[in-house]
Parts: sequence; C-alpha cells; structure tokens
Amino acid sequence: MVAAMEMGETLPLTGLRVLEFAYFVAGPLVGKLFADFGAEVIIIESEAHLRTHASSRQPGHGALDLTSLNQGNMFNRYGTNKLSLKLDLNHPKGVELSKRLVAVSDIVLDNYAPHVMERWGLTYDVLSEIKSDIIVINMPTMGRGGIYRHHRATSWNLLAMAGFNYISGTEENIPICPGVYSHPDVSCNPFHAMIALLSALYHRELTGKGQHIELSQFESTVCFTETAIFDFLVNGRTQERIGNRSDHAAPHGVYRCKGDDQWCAITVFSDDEWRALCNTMSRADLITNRKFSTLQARLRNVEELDRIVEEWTCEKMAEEVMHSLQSAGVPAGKVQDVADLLERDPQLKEWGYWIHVDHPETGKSKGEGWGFELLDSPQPRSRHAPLLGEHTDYVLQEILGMSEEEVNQLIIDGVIR
Amino acid sequence: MGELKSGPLKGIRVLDLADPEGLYCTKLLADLGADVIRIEPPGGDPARKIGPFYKDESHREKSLYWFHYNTSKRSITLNLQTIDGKELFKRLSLKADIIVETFAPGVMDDMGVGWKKLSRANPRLILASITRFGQKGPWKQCEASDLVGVAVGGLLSTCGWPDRFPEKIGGSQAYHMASVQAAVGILMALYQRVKTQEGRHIDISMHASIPVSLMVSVPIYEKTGEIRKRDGDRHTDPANGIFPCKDGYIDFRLRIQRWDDFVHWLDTDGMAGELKDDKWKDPWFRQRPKNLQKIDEMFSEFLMRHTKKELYEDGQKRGFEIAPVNTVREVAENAQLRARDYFVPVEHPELDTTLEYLGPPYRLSLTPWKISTRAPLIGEHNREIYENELGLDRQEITTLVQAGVI
Repeated sequence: MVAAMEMGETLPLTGLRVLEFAYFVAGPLVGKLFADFGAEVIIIESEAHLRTHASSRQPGHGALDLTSLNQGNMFNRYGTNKLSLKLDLNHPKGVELSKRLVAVSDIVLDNYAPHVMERWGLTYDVLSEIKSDIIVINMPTMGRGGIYRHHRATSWNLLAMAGFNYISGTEENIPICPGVYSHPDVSCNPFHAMIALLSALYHRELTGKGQHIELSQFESTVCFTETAIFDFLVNGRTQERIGNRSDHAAPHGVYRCKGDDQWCAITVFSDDEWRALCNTMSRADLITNRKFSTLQARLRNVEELDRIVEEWTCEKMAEEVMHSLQSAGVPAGKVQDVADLLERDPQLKEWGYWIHVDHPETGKSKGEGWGFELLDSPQPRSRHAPLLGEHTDYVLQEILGMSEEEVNQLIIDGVIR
Repeated sequence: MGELKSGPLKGIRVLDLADPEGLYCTKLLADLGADVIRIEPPGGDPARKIGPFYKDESHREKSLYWFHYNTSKRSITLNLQTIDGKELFKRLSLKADIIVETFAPGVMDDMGVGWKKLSRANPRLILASITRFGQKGPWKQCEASDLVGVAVGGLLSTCGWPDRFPEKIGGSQAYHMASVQAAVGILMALYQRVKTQEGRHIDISMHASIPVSLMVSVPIYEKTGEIRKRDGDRHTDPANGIFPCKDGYIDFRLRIQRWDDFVHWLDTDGMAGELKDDKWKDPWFRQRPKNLQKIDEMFSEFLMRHTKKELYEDGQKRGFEIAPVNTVREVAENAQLRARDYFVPVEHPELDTTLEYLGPPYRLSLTPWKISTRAPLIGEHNREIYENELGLDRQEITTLVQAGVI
C-alpha cells in the first residue's frame, strides 16, 4: 500500500497514528501533511454525518448526492495517503469504537464546529482518560471560549473579521479582500495547527506527556496581518491602503505586459537595483534625473515612474521582462496563473511540486506538494484519497483485532454506514 | 535568559540568520520556547530599518516591524565576512540544534560554513535554508521580494479586480507562507531526530510554498481548461460576497440549503417581496444572472437599514455565515479577541512603556505559547554569549570589536 514503507524507508512521521475528524480544507490539510510524511491517518466518517465531512466529499455544494461521495474535488485533493473508516458516530457503538482507536493513537485532529465533538462525547477530558498522552487539537473558528464562541465563519468571513479587507487593495476601492479563494484555509490555519502539533509531539517524546491544543482560526488569521494591527495598537494609526506599492521601495508594482492579461511584478529596493532597471530599460537618463535619482524622489513621483516602467513592459512578454530584469539583478516575476504553474513553470517542475495522483473514480490529476523538502530523505507518498469506508476492514480487524463476524454484525446493527 | 523560557521547544538552540522571508519562522520557534539567537551584522540588522516605527521615530531600536518579528529572541552581532567571524559562527553552530538561513544557494558553502562542514562537526544539526526558489533548478539564483513571490507562486493571479491589475492581499503572504512551511519542515526533522539522532538539511522554496493557495482552480483547469483569475467582488452565488450596510460592510455567505431561512430573515423587515414565491426555491432558477442580481439587490436594500453589529448578531443567531468587515481599529477592539485576552502586553523598559502585541496563533494547554521578552537590542546578548558561553575573555572581545567582527 505504501511505497516508501515497502522499500523499508522511513518518513519523518512514520509510526504515528492520527484520527481525523475534519471537513473542508484547514483540518484535512493538516491530516494531509501527516499522511504525506508517513503517519497513518484514519478519517472517521459516515454517510450519516451529512453536515460534517460528507459535505466536503461532494463535487459541488449542492444537495447531498450519495452516488458521488468519492468524487469530491476538495476531499480528494486533501485526502491523499489517508485511510477511511466508515463509522456512524451518532450510534453509541460508533463512539465506543472510535474511543478504542484513540487508545492506540497519537493525535486526534478536529476542525468541526465546537458542539460536534462535544455531542459525541469526544472531548479532550474524555480522550485523555482513555490515553493519557494523547494530543488533541480542536480548530474552532472563533475559539472554544469567549462571547462569540458559537459564531460561525467561513474563511472569507475570517478574512473580513481579521481586517484583511482593510489592509488589502487601495483607498479608491471599497474594501473587498482581493482573492478568489479562502486564503486562511490553506495558509495560516493548517500550518499553524501543524506547528503546534509537531511541537507538542516533540515535547511528548521528551516528557511522555500529551496535551490539548486549541487553535482559534480567527486568532490564527489575525497573526498573518504583519504590522497593520500592531501599528494601531501602538501608535493608534490606521495605515493607508497602498495596494501593491511599498513605502520603502519604488518602483514596487505589477506592470502590464504584451498579450492578453499578462503582468509582471517588479520591485526595486536599492539604488543598485534602480540603476540596473534603468539600464535594462535602456533609460540610463533616468538614473540621474532628479525626479527619480533617490528613493524619496521615486516615492514622490511614483505615478509617473509607474507609467514609465509600464511603457517599457507593455511592449514585451512577461517572461522576457522577468528574465531580463533578473539577469540584471532586479527582483521581478511574472504573475503566473494556474496554467503557467501546471504546464510551464520550469522551476516548479525541477522542484517536483505537482504530485501525480490516480484515483479509481476520478482518474488522473495533479495534487499539490509542499514548499519544503527534507534533503537526502525519502520523498512524500502519493496514494489517492480513500474511497468512503475503503479501509474499514483493515482498521477494525488489523488495528482493533476484531473478527470478520464482529464486523459484519456492526454492518447489520447500522454502526458501519 | 534560559530560565525565562518555557514552552514545548525549551532547550532547543536556534541560530537565526534569516531575512524577512524567514523572520516569522524564527519568531514562531522563539515564542514556543526555543532559545533563538539572532545574528546581526555589526551596526544592526537591515530589518531594523523597516517601518512603521514607535511614535514614528525612525530609529534602529524603534522599528515595530523588528519588534513584531523578533519577540523572545536574543541578539548578538557578528560579521560573517571576516575569518574570525566565521570561526565564531562555527563554534556557535557546534552547540546549535537548528540554523535558519536565507542566503542565496551556495553562499554558505562559499563562506566555508556549508551544510557538509557544519553537519560533519555537529551531526545532530538541522539546517533550514529558506530561499526564493529553492536550492536547485533554473531559477535558483533569481531574486524575489514578497510581491514577486506571490506573483510567481500564483496567489496574485487570483487577487484583485477584473478591470484593474492584479492586486495583492495585505500582510506579506509570501514571506509568511515560506516561514510557516519552513517551521513545519524544521519540526518534522526535530521530531525525527529524537529517534535517529541525525540532523537534516531542509530546502525551503518561497515559490513552491504558495501554489497550495490556488485550491480548486487546479481541478477546474484540469477538467475544463478554464483559467480562474481575479474576480474582485463578482458574486457567483446569490447573497455571497461583501455588501454595504448602514455603517460599513458585511461579508455574507449564503448556503443553498438555507434559502428558506434567508427569505424569512428578509421578511422580518417585510422586505422579502416576491422572493417568497415558490419558484425561487429552485436553486437553478436563483442562479440565473438576472435572478442572482435581483436577490442581491433586495438583500442590499435590507442590509442598508441595519448596522454591522445588528446584522452580525442577528445573522449569527440565525446560523448564517456572516461577519462584519472589520476596520483595523475594530480588530484591535474586537470583543471576542478582548474576551479571550488575545492581545498580550510586552514590556519595553528602554521606552519606559508596555506595548500590546498580537497574541497566540495557538494555545497549548501544557506548554503555552508565550512572548518571553521584547525583541532584543542590537548585540544585547554579546557578553552573555561570547563571554559566558564561548568563554572569550575581555581582551579577546575588545580585539574582536576593534576588528569589526562583533
């Protein structure tokens, strides 16, 4: 089943067992990190839990369609290398069996709304009674305490709550957070969660003690605001929204290039970079032009400066702008879209970023890799996300030691469904 | 210093040679209890020049950027361009668990302190090399700022208004993405080291840490060839997006199955109108552009009668996914954050004040996150480390200072 393990190679997290009670993106991405790097991650799920994980197994957000539970994009992207145990947690026996699994697991991962695990009786207090060194993480959107603890939020809501709309874009536009997708779900929230879990695991190795981690997705998102909120806390100031510009670099922006909707980002911090830009544009006259010769001058005349740069870029392909500037030592980069990244980007190819996944129901696709690589180590695995209940027999018989008859009885009793 | 530290990483020594793309990584480690020693060039780190500044006083010891990213760390000055500086660095690396560096590929080797040399001397060492594009490949020597990072990584292509240029999301997301992925790699290696007793060299690419943000645009492209781009506030589903209200904006995300509750909500103000007709119950009907627009218009009229606070509290009571679009002030004063003591006070004796900082990204019950001290002053811990730990005497230190090494 697992290529790296068959070859006798050990990934960093090999030997760990994680129970995943998670849906949508942030929680499943944490599970994916564990699974890709060797841990045995068991998703506990059921057709009976319509409001929790089954919704992310759907191809769209429409009404629940039981025939397509293996075809959800989101589930299949973030489910690689995981196992699926079908278990109805609304049935007392389902809860009992999941507790037996806790007894032989290292981590319990939960990103449901706070009341879900509470309703099933799977809180840290209960779980740590079963296994004293268990590490449990809950990732409620607003935190487990506080006056808004029961409030709901999607990750767009989180961006709005955390102030991202007001620290993005420019004053002339209403505060729409630019960005199609739900950034906190794939950035701060899963990675902060993983950092907390790995730190707790390290601590457990040294002391034998487990613990309870709470990640409020709202708080975790605020941590990604850099100094905008901090400036207000200290100086009482709301920074002006300057979009792509910077107050310590100019030019610092995105410039139109030749072709349909093609752009290149260019940033000039030092005087050396400024001279290199002018020379590359064949505009050595600008170097000594008093309107632009110093950073302060360039910032003062930034509108005119941006026009001059764009007059040059709009005659050239974005790749050409990027590479001619890069050869001269100026940070520049094409605004790459999904097709660039999947089909063309030679650097991502060299990195081996896209993982080829072959799923029995949805076929071949490219899954995302990671931005870090442990050198001279076996590489992450790439098994497709599990079909619903694909590993039920394995988990109940091999891990919990149940007989085939006992498992069949659970099906008859409606526990496995 | 050691006794002030607590947290799951207590006892772990980190040498921090990171530029802005790695500063958040070492902050995360420091606030979890690691002993992070920031190595600055004599005269201070360039990041100290980045604003905003405390009371707008542009000064190396008053940068809020520096304060924010260097909490719980110590600082020494060391000139790595000198032979003596390199020797001192090698001695420090013998006692280090982790080194985080952001030099271009090959620079550490050229300085004579590359991975092979360091790990031969200290086999348990974990070296995290954060670069713009990774250690190998055709673009490995390319330069990138945060803006260039989100451009080449794909995030920027989804950001902004369709009739304008791509416009980045605030808060240095490329630097943050590289930093958190670096921290994950480091902690995996640290966990594995407990069993193997061996360190690792970790290659972190800011560029490759960003495409995860493309999310469903990858399968959409694979299936249909459609390239998803910046949508601004284009609403693809009814009552989904940012809407003006009486005193600002709210962010609302209506789920299909909540239609009846939604109509009922509008009806509390007598503003549901024709939406009460049965034909609107059909999601495909609602999805037609004209109908979608109609719903959004009627919703907007309803919203304009109420304040953010009213809408948020009433909407949440009804179980909708709704949030106020908070201004910076409203985040700083947010009742939930305040109720949970999210913001934490940090003493600055030199400024004779206590400043409020952003708080924990996570709360660990046994080994809590903690800002143990404010960011260090330039070379604040030179004596502690050079004298007490490396055992240099005063005379040697004076010589090194005069030679511009520390």
